[in-house]
Amino acid sequence: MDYSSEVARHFAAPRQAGTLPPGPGTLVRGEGGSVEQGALVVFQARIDAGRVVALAWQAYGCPHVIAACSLAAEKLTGCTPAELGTFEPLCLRGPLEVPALKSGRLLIIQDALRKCLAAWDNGDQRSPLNKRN
Amino acid sequence: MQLPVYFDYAASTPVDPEVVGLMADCLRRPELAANPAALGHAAGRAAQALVEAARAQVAALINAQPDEIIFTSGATEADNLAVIGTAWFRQARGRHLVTSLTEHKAVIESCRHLATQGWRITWLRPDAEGLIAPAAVEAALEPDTVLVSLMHVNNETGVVHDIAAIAAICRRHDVLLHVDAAQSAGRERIDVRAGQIDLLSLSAHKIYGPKGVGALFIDQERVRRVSPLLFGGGQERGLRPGTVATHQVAGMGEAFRLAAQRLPDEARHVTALRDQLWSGLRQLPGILLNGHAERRSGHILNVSITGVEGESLFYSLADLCVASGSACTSLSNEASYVLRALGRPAALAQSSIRFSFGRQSTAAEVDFAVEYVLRAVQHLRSFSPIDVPGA
Repeated sequence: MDYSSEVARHFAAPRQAGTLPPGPGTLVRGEGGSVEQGALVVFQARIDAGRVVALAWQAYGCPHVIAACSLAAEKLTGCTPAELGTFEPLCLRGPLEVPALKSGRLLIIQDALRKCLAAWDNGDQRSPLNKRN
Repeated sequence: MQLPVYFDYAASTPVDPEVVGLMADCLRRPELAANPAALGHAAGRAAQALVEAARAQVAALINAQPDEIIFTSGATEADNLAVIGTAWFRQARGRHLVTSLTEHKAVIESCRHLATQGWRITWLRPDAEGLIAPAAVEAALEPDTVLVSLMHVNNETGVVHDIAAIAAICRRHDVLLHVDAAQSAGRERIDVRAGQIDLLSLSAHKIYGPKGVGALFIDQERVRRVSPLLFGGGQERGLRPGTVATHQVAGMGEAFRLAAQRLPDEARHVTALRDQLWSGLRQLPGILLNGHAERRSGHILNVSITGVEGESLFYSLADLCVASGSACTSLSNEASYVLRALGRPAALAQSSIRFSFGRQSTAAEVDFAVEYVLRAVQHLRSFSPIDVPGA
């Protein structure tokens, strides 16, 4: 499969990949997909003073998923918590040139971000996420 | 070192320069341009002489008689002719075949085709190391079994099946045995007489010959004939009609001649490289060897890497020409069915890499591959949510 130069750029040097260290504000996490589905995405957001002041992600997935996580994290840092829930991941299709058959993979990012918002709404503060066994 | 480094000799090999020379000669010389079936004139007889010389060279590699070799378009056609041709010709005797879930698609799809026509197929499942137990073959035989079709060396894992034991069982039950030797010819010693093999499929391009030509060995005492799949001429004893491509066949013959000469040295060469690669890669936490650790051919190493996704892994290895179990890198759009049959979960089948070695492979290339794979996996794991112990 061919990948766009933008996918290649994000894949080689992903932005905001990893986990967030303990710090001020509220730390929430959300997860989408599964290994069995072929893509597992975890987002972690630090929310302080009504803003997402830091966003990090981890992903097991194809290069399109990796690049989409990287680009989404860049775009969403600084947004309001509500915008995590309204983010439309299919807007990443164009910049990354994601083929139609891969569109479903992007929805996994939406699932993870919505769970972040749900955790925030529930007042659910989490410690930095642990890796899965 | 030239990038990308080629580690896909199990898929195809570069044509040997001596083979290229002979084939080019065939194409260049007008006196060899005749149809090898046109025996009424000297040019036709000259072409036929080349074809028959090639037939003898192919036969020699497997200790067969030249008239037991039928040239085909490749091993896929040879497999089709062996399985379907045998089943059709012997249907009065029975309509049951035995094969395995890890065969090449050429055998699997031939069996599936027969199943649509009423044949019963017993699909043997390999153990977790990819081997088919001879006892399982014996247990699968029924009174109306006409053919057992099993490969010698698996094209994905490199495991070597115990064909001698399976052949002995088939002889005892008077059932024909077809062996797909596309991966083993020229790499493992094959003796169809001592090995009691009735039909054997061969490919040219797996051992430095041209693509587009292969052969089927048919034991003249035990099998004698199969039903043809093509119609329209009497070439190849009527079993595979169509004008024989002189240059292709001559190239195959030369490749087989060279393979016979070089087999022991090359087997040692590729086995040393395979062991060097495994020695380097096994330091990677979460790496799994696919296939039996001992009973495997020297030219293939197949591993799965936990905690990384197959397509991303494959993408990260752009400087290596390797085969991947990832669905997105194959025409079939499914994770390796061979590794799935061994019980590997889909994720591990997807994250498998097959390295295969050949004449031109070097120790320096293997060193490069080790470093390159370790770096790629480290990168992917740096943002993976899956914990791999020791990583």
